[in-house]
Amino acid sequence: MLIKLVLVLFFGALLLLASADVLLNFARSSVAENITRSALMLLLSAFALLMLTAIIKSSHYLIGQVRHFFSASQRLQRRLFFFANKQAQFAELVTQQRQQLYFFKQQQQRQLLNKNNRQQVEALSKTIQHQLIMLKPSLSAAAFKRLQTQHKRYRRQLNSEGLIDLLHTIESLTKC
Amino acid sequence: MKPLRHWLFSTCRFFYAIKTKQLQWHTKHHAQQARLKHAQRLAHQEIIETLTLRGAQLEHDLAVLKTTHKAQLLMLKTQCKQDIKDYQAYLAALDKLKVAIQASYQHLPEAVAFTIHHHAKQLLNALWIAETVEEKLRCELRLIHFMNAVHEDASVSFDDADALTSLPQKTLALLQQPLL
Repeated sequence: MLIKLVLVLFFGALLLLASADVLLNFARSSVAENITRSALMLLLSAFALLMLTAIIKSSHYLIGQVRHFFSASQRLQRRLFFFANKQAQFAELVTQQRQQLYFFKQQQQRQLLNKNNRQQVEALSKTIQHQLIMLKPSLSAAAFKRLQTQHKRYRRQLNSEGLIDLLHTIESLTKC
Repeated sequence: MKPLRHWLFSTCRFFYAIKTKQLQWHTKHHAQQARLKHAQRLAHQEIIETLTLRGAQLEHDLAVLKTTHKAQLLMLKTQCKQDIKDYQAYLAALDKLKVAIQASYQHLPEAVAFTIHHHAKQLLNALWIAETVEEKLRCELRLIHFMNAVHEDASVSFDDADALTSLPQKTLALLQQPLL
């Protein structure tokens, strides 16, 4: 309705401007001036009305959008998304917690194993050292030094297999 | 002036005709419009009911999921603790077995005693890192079999005084077998 009114005002203003132009040809300048002023007023009113219409329409649209946002169906849909999202988040959290548990379990097992390995290496090293000292008189200085170096290296590396092999070697040398 | 008036009247008539047509259309389709609006309202109501039900269902599902996972996590935590305790117990048992076999076979070279212990520990680690249940079971059987052999050898030497010069034959035979 407002748009119609704007159009009527606009075309009315155009009509008045055209009539003012016609009157100017008949040298009725004062009347033409008044008509032009009225036409301009009409044109201005048309623009003002147009702006008012735009504001009213925008407000209507905005209010409609806000009402739609807070409508029951939209609220329920958002609630559904919230729960679905929460479920996905929870599943992710559970997976991570499981991984964390497995990780800590592995860590604890590794610590226990390392502790046991260190104890074994200590015991092996003590035995090797003892047997090396016993064997020292029957060994050449170079051979003794080589065995001692190997012993120190394996001990530093916490290499149980190497130390066991070394112990086997020393025991075979003792038998000879 | 007369043509202008005529033109104005005809324009007004044209607008009135349009208005009349619009009114006629509205009168004709009023019932249908009302029916459609009613159907729309019903459909909207139905959607809201469905969404409410679905929301309640999801909320319930989430609560159930939380409870289930909480219980599962608790179970897993207990299982992990038990596994660690078992591992610790196995390591202690292996140490004891080494001491027992050293005590039983006093002439046994230290290297052999350490090799027995090392082999048992490797079997234990293989059991620990096994991923499938079948593999785990196989490794556990091998470890138990090995520990039994060591234990039997240790018991034999305790019972028989002549066995002081002999070696733990069963254990040494198992040592020859490859790990996996």
